[in-house]
Amino acid sequence: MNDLTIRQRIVAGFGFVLIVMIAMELVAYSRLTIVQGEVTKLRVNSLPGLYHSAELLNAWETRYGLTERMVAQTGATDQLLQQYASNADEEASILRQYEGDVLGDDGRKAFVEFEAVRSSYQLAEAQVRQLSSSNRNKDAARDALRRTLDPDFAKLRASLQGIVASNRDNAINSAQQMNQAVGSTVDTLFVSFVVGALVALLCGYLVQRDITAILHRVAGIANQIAGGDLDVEPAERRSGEIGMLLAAFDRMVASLKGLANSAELIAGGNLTVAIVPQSTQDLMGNAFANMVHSLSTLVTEVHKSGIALNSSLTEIAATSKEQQATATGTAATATEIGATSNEISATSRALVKTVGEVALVAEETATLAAGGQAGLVHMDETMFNIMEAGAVINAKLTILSEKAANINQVVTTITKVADQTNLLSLNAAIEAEKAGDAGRGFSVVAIEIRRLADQTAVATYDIEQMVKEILSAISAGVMGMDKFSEAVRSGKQEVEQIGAQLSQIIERVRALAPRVEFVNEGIQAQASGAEQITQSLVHLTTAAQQMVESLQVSTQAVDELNRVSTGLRGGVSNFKSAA
Amino acid sequence: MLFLLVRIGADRYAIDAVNIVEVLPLVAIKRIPRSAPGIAGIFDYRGAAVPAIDLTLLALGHEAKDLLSTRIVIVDQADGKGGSRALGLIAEGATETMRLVETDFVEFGIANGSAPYLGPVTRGPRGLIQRIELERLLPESVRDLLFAPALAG
Repeated sequence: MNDLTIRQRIVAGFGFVLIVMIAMELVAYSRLTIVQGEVTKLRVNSLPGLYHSAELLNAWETRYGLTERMVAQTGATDQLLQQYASNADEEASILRQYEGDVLGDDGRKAFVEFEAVRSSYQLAEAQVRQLSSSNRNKDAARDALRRTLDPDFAKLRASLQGIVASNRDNAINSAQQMNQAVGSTVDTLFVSFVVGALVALLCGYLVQRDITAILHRVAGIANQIAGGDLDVEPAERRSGEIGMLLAAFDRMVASLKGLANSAELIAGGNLTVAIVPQSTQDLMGNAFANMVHSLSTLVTEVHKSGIALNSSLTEIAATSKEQQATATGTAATATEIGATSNEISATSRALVKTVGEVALVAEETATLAAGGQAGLVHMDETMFNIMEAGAVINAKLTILSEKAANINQVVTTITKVADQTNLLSLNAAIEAEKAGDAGRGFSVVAIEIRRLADQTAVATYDIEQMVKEILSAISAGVMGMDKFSEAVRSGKQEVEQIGAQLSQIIERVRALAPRVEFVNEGIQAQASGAEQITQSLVHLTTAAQQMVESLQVSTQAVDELNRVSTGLRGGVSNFKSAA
Repeated sequence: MLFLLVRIGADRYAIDAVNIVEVLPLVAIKRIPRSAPGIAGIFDYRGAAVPAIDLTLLALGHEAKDLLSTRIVIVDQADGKGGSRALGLIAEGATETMRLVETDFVEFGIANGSAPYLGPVTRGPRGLIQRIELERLLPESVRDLLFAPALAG
């Protein structure tokens, strides 16, 4: 039993259950086929036959009633005839339907008998109807009814009742057979179900018991491994899935033991362990290989970092000491700044006073500038007068120039006269010479005349020179006056400009007053700001002293860190790196 | 002997009064283009057209200045054929006469071929005075040209 695989066990158990179910099915099928046949018979023959035969009995009862009424009634019989015809049609229809329902030899025989009785009744009835069609023969018809038709109707009714009873018996028979078949089927099914259920339970129990036992064992091993205990006793050799599972467990344990040994070596600091992953899917192997590689790198890095950390710590310690010194210096500087700030505050107060004086001086300046402006207006008027006077002088000089020109004309006339006189005396002298001794006296006169003419010429020359000098002096005077006028004009413009500038100065100086006030406020704000700075500096000094203290603490911490770093480097040096 | 003193440039020259007809103020001179050197033109003298010689132009090459003292001296000019004709000399500074002695004039010893009309010199009160020789004033060819129209007339 133990050699069967789990698959074989499951297949065997389910196959047995299946066989039981098939046998149960076959029995049920045969029984139900019988039931089906009886049901068909009941549906197709027995029940419709019963129904139709009852209908037929009813139709004939009605027909007999109609015949009786016809016999009894006198007068009009049209309505009765009409009912009679419809009854005949109905009866024929029912009879045709019943013919299909006739069942068995007994039924056939009963039906043939009924046909014969029906024919004889119809003949008797036709006779009665013939007699009753006229009122005179009503008594004869009544008599015929009593004598022939009543016995025939009795036979007909008996025949029909027999048919109805036969059909009812058939139906009851079928129902009984069905009942019997269904009852046996129920029994069979119950027995089959009980047998099948028992077999299934047995098979299930057997399979479950085996699998559960094996799985309990495997789970125990897995729990042991999961708990880290790799001292698992090797499993007995078994075939099937369980054997494969146990062999896989053995391999897993071996692999884990190898990895555990490697981990022990690594923990001992040996990073030269060769970890070969079994495949690319070997997560543990790959992880160990990666871990060894990463650890090698890490150890190298940590080693380097330890050295770097050491040097950094040395630097930090030095820096910390420097900062300590700087903080001490900062505190001293802050105290100095505080003193300076106090000085600034005092200076600001002095400035406030000075600014007030500046405001006073500015007001005086504005007053003085206004006075200067008035003086300039007066000066402007004076300049205008000077310019007018210059114009008058220029006019006078022009007149003088004209007079000098007139003198020049007179001089020219005198010069011409002198020239003519000179010429005359020359000619006279020449003539006197030509006249010889007779002209001797005349010659003397001529010379004298010429001498006078020459003196006149010299005098006129002198006058001419003087007039020229006067004229040049006048033109120089005119030019000078022009320049003077120009200078006065430009001076006037400058005076106007100065006036405008003085106006601006007054304006600016007046605008200075609110600014001075503004400056005053600013200086006061500065003074209060300086006091605030002093207070802040006191805080700063305190903070710097606190910083010095904390830096001392941090220096101690750095020393501690240095010690730890040295320890770290010692620990790392225990690792033997493959790299 | 009486001499009329004139100026050529800055120097003083003397003209013999015997040859002088009249001294006139400077009148308008009609210019004659392309005439011989020294000829200033012709002017109207008592109804006759008389040629005028500018002494400054003749001697120094530039015209006499237009001053009151610049005058026209009318002289008798021998025409070389026994007669004489009036000739105008334009001279600067012709404002005085001076009595000089004939024998005081001396040759100064420098032969002057191009200006033969400049004669001997004498000492005056304001420096040396050179005599102008009127008969040598014009070359013969010029003289003939100047006086030819008169002959024809």
